[in-house]
Amino acid sequence: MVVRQYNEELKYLEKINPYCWKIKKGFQPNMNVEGVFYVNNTLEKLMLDELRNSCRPGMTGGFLPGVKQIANVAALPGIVGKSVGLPDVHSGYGFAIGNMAAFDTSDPTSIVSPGGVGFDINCGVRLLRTNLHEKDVQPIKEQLAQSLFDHIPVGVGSKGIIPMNARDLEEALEMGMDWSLREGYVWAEDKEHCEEYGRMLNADPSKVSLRAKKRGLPQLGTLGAGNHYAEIQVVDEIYDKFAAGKMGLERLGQVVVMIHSGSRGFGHQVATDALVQMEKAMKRDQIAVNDRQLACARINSVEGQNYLKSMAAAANFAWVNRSSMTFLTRQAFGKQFKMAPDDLDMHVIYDVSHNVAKIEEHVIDGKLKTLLVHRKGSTRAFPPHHPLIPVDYQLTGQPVLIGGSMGTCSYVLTGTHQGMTETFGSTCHGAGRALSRAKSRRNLDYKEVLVKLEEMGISIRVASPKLVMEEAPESYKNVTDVVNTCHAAGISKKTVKLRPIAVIKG
Amino acid sequence: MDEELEGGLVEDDFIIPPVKYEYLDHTADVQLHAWGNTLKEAFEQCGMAMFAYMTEMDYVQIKEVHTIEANADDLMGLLYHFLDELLFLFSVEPFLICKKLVITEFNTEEFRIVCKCYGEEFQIGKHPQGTEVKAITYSAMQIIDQPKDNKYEVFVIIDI
Amino acid sequence: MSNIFKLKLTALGHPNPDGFNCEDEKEYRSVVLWLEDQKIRHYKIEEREGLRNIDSEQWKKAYNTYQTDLVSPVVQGTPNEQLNWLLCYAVRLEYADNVTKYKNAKVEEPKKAAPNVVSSNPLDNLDFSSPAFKAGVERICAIAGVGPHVDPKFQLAAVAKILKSAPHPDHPKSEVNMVHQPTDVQKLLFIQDLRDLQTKINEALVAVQCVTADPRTDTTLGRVGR
Repeated sequence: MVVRQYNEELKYLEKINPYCWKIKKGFQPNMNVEGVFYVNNTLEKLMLDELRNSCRPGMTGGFLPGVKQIANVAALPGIVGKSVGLPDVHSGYGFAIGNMAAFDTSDPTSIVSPGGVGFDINCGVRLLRTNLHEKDVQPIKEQLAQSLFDHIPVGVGSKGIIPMNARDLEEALEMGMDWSLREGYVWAEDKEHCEEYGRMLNADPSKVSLRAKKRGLPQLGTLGAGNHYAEIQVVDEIYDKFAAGKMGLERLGQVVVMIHSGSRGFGHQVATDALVQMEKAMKRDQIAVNDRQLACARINSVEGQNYLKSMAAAANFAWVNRSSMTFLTRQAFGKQFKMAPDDLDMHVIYDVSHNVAKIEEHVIDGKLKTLLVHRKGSTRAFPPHHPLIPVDYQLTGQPVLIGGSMGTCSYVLTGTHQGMTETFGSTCHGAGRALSRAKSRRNLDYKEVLVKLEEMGISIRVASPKLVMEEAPESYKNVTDVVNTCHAAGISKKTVKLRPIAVIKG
Repeated sequence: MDEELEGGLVEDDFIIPPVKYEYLDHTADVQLHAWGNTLKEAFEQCGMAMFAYMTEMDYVQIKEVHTIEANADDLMGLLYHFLDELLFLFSVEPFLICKKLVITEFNTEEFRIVCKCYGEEFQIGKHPQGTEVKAITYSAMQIIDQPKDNKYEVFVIIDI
Repeated sequence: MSNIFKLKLTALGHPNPDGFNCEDEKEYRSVVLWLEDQKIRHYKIEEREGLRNIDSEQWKKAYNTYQTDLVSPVVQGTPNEQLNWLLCYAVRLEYADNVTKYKNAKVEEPKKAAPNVVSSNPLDNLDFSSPAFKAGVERICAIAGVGPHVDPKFQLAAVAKILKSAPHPDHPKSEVNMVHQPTDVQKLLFIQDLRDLQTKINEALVAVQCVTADPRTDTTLGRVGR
């Protein structure tokens, strides 16, 4: 890492408009392209403070600041366009969380990096609608929250309740949501409202280690812990009536369910295994990177291909996981309201991935290119008329689901043409942490957090008490700041704001 | 020789080592800091620190013992794989939550660890659910091995 | 349902269409027999024995055979659906026997209650072929980015779709858009086709699910909640 004074560092940064900063070449060594990040005034301060802190003498260890990480990614072989930091960016393993980068597949030196996808492969958000109104739910909210908590396995050490053997798992890894569909856990319409139709076709379970499969099997159909959750929410504000209508969100107070989960231990193991393989590949192919954590391999190398195939299997795992929880949610609601889930109109509005790498076609300098797009803590946000988004959203653009932190609002956005050209059709994914977990535990009181949530009218069921402080809204960047920045910068468009009324967490 | 108790355990196995670890601040994740009178002890403590993050140790009983093995190409790799093996032991059958770790082979030349893991199967209801550890990382990993100053410490960031 | 039955029975010349109660098992059976005896005449007289024994327990079986012989599509349906089909079938036969007679039948047009009102809505009186109309449409199309077409009504429909989807068309005028806009319109026109295709795919998936689906849960596998 280049060590310079903070003021020296600032010379490499340039504010190009009220919502966008440029990171010039030279900020970190060997940058192939420039970097860029999107912030408003509040988020800008957080970003620059992080950089300033790292410039203080004696600061070693921990992660590099997000800006530096964005710049290091810009130095990876084969990167095109620019290395993009979304408004919720914060430092992560190798790549910052909230960083997207695209690599030209026609360039033989281009790489794929597990750090650019994240450990929780295909972590994502699914939104189910209902035809219920807040006033239908309010009297039995506690029972409904308890019912969800009783149906969905949550927290550390929980195991799935959908019977699966090793052969079922192999099939699920290959087929993704088609497996859930075949077994009857989801509806046919669910599939069309998922990215990739809930199945990555290049998945190859034979490239996945036995270790990953062993870790994955007991955890399929579990929510997980940490920032994962299932929330009952209501429509709080509608910004774009037409787009909301297309999603079946017609009125204020309409009840929806948001599920935020990923590929559990399976995805983590796939990522871990790949990092080991790639260290070897880097030595062999003499790939130089600025940071050891940016382990990567050429896309066309055996290691690169194996990773992409096992990553796809992990992505399929995550879709099956969210589908299983969709099934359990529908059951919980069905029992509580003594109605069939389809009479409750519990359709999947959309399902987004925010930790994944995909082959996509984009226009670079007027030329159509096939790119490997890494999105880590970043959501795909394709514009209207894009061939890869469902027919129901052809006129509105792809729905983008932005989960808030515990007790805060969530948002539904839509993709824009501007986002397609500026950020390869990518936008933010959530709030992004601001306080460390330990700091949250020290500064926040368990009871106070619970009382505050109760005052806001939010029922909560949490498996781990210390999570209540760690995940308290104060620990996160304000999701509204994040979303407003994306909207103002034009890389996606606000459609609906959702307010939580019940939270189920690990 | 101690009298053998249930599950192949002897009485000495129930002696709980003192706590020589702490959790350090980190934005999105947590950093484990462990130390000891030998590097071997620092490793053991680091493993126990990870388990203590997943539940409250007071609720865990020693009921069974399992043995794990870890191999690597360097010392950092050894720490990494040691912790990864422990995490694996928790994530799959026997779903073991460990209260005590005893490294029986600590080879820093061929980079090999054999470790006895004492604890019981994790049970929701009996054991409070703490934080889930997703993965071990090399990020900012430090191993301080200074026999001159009798200083043995390790720092590991775990992804949660 | 009973109203439909009454209309069809009247048309067929049934002696007591007003008094027919389809819920009464006995009346139901007599009407079926009457239809076969008087109108359908699918069986020879001696073959109608099964249907004639209205009080017999075997009647239902005979009725089922009868429907199968007529290749009724609703053998599995409710009794009312079954009867409705029989009535329709009988009406069809009746019409086929007397095509010339019925062809000239005229429905008396009910007199309109209100006098003709001259529309005050200028859109109702538009002359779609007038040059002024064409010019106007061309102008909107230029703004909305809709490409040329011989039929201005066609262009107007495309503009309507764009306006519905993007209430404030804000298309920067660049060369790229010159190409993009017409293709967008093309896509709009195909969205309905795509939706139909997707619906058919979903129907196929549901059909497969009928065979393969068997969702289960087993709560003993892991404790959920607390």
